[in-house]
Amino acid sequence: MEPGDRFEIKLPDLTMQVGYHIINNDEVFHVVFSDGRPELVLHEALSGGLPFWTSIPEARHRLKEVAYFGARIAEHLKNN
Amino acid sequence: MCYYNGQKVSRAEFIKLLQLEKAVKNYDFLNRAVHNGFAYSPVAVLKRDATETNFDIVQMEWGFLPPYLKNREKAAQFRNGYKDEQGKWHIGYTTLNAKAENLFTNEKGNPSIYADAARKHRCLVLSTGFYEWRHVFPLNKKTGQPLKTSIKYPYYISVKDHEYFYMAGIWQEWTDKDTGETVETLAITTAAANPLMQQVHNSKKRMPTILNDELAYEWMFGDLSDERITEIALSQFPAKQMDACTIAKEFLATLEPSTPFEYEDLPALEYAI
Repeated sequence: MEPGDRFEIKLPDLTMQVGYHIINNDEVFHVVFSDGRPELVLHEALSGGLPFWTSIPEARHRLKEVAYFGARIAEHLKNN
Repeated sequence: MCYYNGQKVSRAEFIKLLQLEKAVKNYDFLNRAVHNGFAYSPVAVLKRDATETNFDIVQMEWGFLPPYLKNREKAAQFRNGYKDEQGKWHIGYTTLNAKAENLFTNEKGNPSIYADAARKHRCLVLSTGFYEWRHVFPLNKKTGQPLKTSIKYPYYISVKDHEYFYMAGIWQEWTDKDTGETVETLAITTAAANPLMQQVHNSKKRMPTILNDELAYEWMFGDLSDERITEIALSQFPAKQMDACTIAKEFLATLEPSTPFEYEDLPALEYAI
C-alpha cells in the first residue's frame, strides 16, 4: 500500500472510507464514516511493547469506537 | 510512564504521539496524495510552561537571534555577514550552537549574547540522532604525506536503546519589528567531544550537550547558579552509550537519511563502539 491510497471497509451497518498516510514516518489511517459520525484519525501505538489502536488526537469519549474500527482496519490489511 | 487515550505508554511513545498529534493537526487528509513525512517533521523542543513544573512541546527556529536585531534583513546580516556602506566586511555569527564555555562570557571576555537565555530560557531539544562529518586526509601517492584537502564522510550518531534523547538548548524570543512576527529561536549547547565524537567530528572535536534524564530535568526546571548551568552544559555524555554509523553522502536528499552506508576506503573508528 502506498501513502495516499484509499480503501473501503463495509460493515453490516456502515461503511468506512479509509485513507492511508505516512506522517512523521508513522502510519495513520484517516477514516470517514457513511453514517455521518465524526471522522477519526487512527494510529497503532505501543503500550508496554504491545500494539493498540489510538486516535490522534486523543478522543477519550470514543475509546470503544477507536478500538473497534482500528481492529477492522487491521483485519482488512491482513486479508487483502 | 505516561497515558495516551487511556493507555499506559512509555515516555518515548508519548512524545512521539504528541508530535504526531501536532503534525496531524496541520495535515490536509483530503488533498494529499503522497506525503514526504521527513520533510514536514517538526523540530520539537521541550519548553518549561507557565506553571514552571511541566513542559510544552513547541517548535522553534534553530539559530539563536538576539532581541536587538530589528528585522529579518538585520537577522540575515547577523547570520551571514555583510558589507557596510564603506565597503567594510562584517563577519556573520553562527548561532546554531552555543559553546558551553561561553554561555556567560564570550571568547573576547565580554558578556555573552546567550547569558540571559542560559539563566532564564533553558530548554531540551528532542533528538533521535544527529549528523556529523569525519574528515579523512588521503595520503599523497608520491610522497606518502596526507593531502591538504580532506574527504568528508557523514555519520549518523544516536544514543543506544533510546528512541529519543535530550540535547540542552537555550532559547530567545525574537520579534521582527517591521512585521510584528515573533518567533522563538534556539541554540543547542555544545561540549568537548567524548572519545567517540573526537574521532567522528575530528575537525572541531565538539559534540552537542546530551543530557540523561536527571540532568535534563535539572536543566529545564532547576533554579541554577551560573556555575551549575555551565557545569551541566559542559557535561560529556558517555561514548559507550552512543552509536555512530556511516551514512550515504547524499543523505540529506533521502527519505531515510540515517540508513547505514559503508565506505570501502574509510578506516574504521578506533574507538570500539
